[in-house]
Amino acid sequence: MHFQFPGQLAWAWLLVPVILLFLVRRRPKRIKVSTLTFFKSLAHVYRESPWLRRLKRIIALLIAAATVAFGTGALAQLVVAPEAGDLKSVLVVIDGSASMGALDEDGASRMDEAKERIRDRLSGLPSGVGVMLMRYDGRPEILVPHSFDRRGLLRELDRVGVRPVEGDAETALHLAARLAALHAPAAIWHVTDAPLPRADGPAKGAKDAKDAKDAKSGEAIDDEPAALEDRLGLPDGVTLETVDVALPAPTNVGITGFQIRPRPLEHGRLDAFVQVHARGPKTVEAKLEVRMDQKLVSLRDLTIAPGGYERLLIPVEGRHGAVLEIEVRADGDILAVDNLVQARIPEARAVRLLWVRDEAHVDPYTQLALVALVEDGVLEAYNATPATFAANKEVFDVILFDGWLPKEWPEDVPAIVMKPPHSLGPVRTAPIEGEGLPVDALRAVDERHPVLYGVASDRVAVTQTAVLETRGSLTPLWTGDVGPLLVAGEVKGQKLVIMAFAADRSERLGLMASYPLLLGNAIFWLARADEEARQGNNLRTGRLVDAAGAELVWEGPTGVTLARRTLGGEGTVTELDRLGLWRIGDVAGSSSLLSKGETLLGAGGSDAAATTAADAGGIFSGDLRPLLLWLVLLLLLIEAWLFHRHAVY
Amino acid sequence: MADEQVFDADFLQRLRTLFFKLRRRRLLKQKGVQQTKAVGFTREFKDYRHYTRSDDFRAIDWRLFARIEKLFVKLYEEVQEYHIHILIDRSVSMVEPFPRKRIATLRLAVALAYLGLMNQHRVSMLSFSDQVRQEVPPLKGQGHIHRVLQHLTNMPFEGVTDLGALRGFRPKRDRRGIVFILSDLLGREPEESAAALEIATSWPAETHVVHVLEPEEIRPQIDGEVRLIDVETQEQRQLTLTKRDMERYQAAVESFLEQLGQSCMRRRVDYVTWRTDLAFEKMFLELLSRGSALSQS
Repeated sequence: MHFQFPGQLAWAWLLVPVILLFLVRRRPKRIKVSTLTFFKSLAHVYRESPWLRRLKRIIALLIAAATVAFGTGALAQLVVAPEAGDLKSVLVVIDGSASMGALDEDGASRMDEAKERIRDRLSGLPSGVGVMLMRYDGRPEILVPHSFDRRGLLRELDRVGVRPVEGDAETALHLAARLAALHAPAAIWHVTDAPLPRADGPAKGAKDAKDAKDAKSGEAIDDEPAALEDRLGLPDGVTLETVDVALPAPTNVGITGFQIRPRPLEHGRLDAFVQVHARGPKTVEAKLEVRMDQKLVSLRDLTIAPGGYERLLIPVEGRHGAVLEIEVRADGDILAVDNLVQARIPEARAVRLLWVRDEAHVDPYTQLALVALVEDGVLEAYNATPATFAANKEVFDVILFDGWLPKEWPEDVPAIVMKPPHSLGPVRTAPIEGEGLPVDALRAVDERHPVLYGVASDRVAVTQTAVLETRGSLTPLWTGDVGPLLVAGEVKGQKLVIMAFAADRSERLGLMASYPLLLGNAIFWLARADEEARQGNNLRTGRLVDAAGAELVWEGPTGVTLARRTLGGEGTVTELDRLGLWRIGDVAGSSSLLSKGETLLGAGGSDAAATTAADAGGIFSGDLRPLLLWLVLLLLLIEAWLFHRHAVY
Repeated sequence: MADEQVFDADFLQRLRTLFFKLRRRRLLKQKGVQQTKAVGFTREFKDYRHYTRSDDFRAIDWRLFARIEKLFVKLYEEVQEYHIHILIDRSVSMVEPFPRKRIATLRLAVALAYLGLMNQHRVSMLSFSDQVRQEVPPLKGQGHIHRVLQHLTNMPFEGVTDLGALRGFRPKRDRRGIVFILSDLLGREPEESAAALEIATSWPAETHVVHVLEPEEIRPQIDGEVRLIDVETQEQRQLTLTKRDMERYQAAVESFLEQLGQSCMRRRVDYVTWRTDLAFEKMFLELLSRGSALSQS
């Protein structure tokens, strides 16, 4: 409890004359009259006995003292806010992810509940405490910087909505901690339906709310001491308070995984991979509908245990461009945005590779590895010589330069450079004279790089033909005694893999499984962007897509335009913040939530109840000025009724 | 209270002037000092009338018979003497909290006594509070006015008003009497005053009730929390009074006066309200003009 304007407490000195008047009371005027006869006839109704008069005097004193006290409290702006303490600012971080759209029995969303909670808490916050507002889903967004304008904040709060995007609470709270530290001592009010676990359990190091919600759902949490503040790196003077608005026992079923991919060994045939998660107090019975161009083609009944999932592989029979819709339904489902997935059937084709090499020096091990990939149907490899490369007009997904480089570096296509003879463009190399330099012990710099996936780096011995210079974002993957011999990365938007060794001259590489793996990894890593296009660009919401100079059009299943977004000066990329089918120029795709973290809704328990109780606070918390003014008015009315009701003329 | 304040020279001069006016008015209306139509046995000749058998033959005017040979008898004036009783309320309420009531009452009493003495009537001065007391024995002759003045000046005002004490006043039947009751009539209860005046109907006299009132008693200027003290009983009452209360008070007083007036009218008792803020001469002439025998004598 404290006062916003303590100087106004000087008004309490008015109590002194009130008490003095009580102690040294003014005696009533003594008037002599000829007779009391007629006065008695007036006074018979309200003649007062001495004890009643004394009682009334005491009541009058109490009323006057209370009026002065309440009025002083109102002028000094008495605030009772135990949670406020000595705070200078409060940062409200509101979760705007998809799960906040879950509806309760009354049809109110978690976002509505969150706004109500925030309003209640703000009403109990002293006006001298600064406020900030931040919302987040996939990315944080500061809506109101540090301000004392509560109304402005409430207006912004009213405008906060739910986007069908997976939330990333930890990233948002990291930013919030830094922001709050600027106005410390500060409190962060994290209003969400998926509180981060306080214990440093399996969710430690989680980068998104998915893992956090796993922990919230009770799947994995241990009893270790709270370490949330440490994980978030909260500075001194900044505290985190979570306001849990989750429903106590939500029921939800949703599609958390979806992919259209070629059917193995069946060229031109596609399968749809679907993963369905369910959350509920008991086993969820769900129906999965598969529609092609709005015609039902398949219907599955699913029985999923609480927190469990079901994975399906559904054959897709449809023409290129047809709209595939997969929808899951269950009784009592409170979140709709994760129930439907839409996708266009992509054109079934393999990665196109152009292998440019001198016919006189064909590397048999490289040829062997490419043949293996071609036979799997995932690759179409085309051969070219330095003489024919210049005349080539076809478009390939990846170009493999083997011991040769053109005069002009092609910047518009991902490339693999093997045994570079000289430097060109982003390729900076110093060839090693002679047969090369044997390297028996390689050092893998980044074993987790996709290019090295499955490659036994510690068992490989190669002959290094050149020393590479890493530039830009090129990352050395293998390093020998004289420098890097395998690098991968991106230069000016072009993805590159440079191999400065010869497989045919290496002692333990050509006949090992690691070489085809390495080559395949490099090809498919370089072609990954195109891979998504080949699979129909079925992306998750929140992804950024390149739309430079084009218009993002959202379409319905029948091709009708639902919305348009023209990118002017906003940049070259835009965010997929809607569910459904989209088109940017010639590029088409779809976006879906596909988030296990959002589908497995958190369940509010005792924490929620405790927060609710703390929020309630009663009418005697918060800024008591209106209450005090009402009390003053009430006291004046009581005083008028008690002592002056016969004096109303 | 100093004599000058009650019966100062100015008042006495005004009193004389007032009586000269009264005498002139009376002389202009009638001949002779006696105003009664009755005839008596005084030496003052009044008129003639024809002799009848029932008349005393000694009353025949033989001189007139000698001139006109008709029998006439002489009629003589009958001189009537009234006994004027002036009852003065001597309770404390007549002097407190409004001393003007005492002054007005005493001046009225003196004026009535002066009028009576000047007309050769017998004047008695009495006072009453809880009992009737003879203040001045019956006097006759205008030379006694100074005695009256001296006695009234020193008359104390004390005790409580008890109009029931009027039952102790019994005017004798030997003379025709005129009773003046000078009082504020503030008894214990309003009904008590009207009931006490019932006794006046048994008096063989013409009764005049002069209700002496201070304007403040009709319309008091009191507001707020006050402690009221009854000057007679010293009873105290603490009240919070408002304008509305004062309006109710005024209505009660006016109702009391109306009730008194009607009660006196039913009993053929003259009732007049004497407001101390009005001019004495005006009020006195109005009192005499109400048909009192004193004004015609």
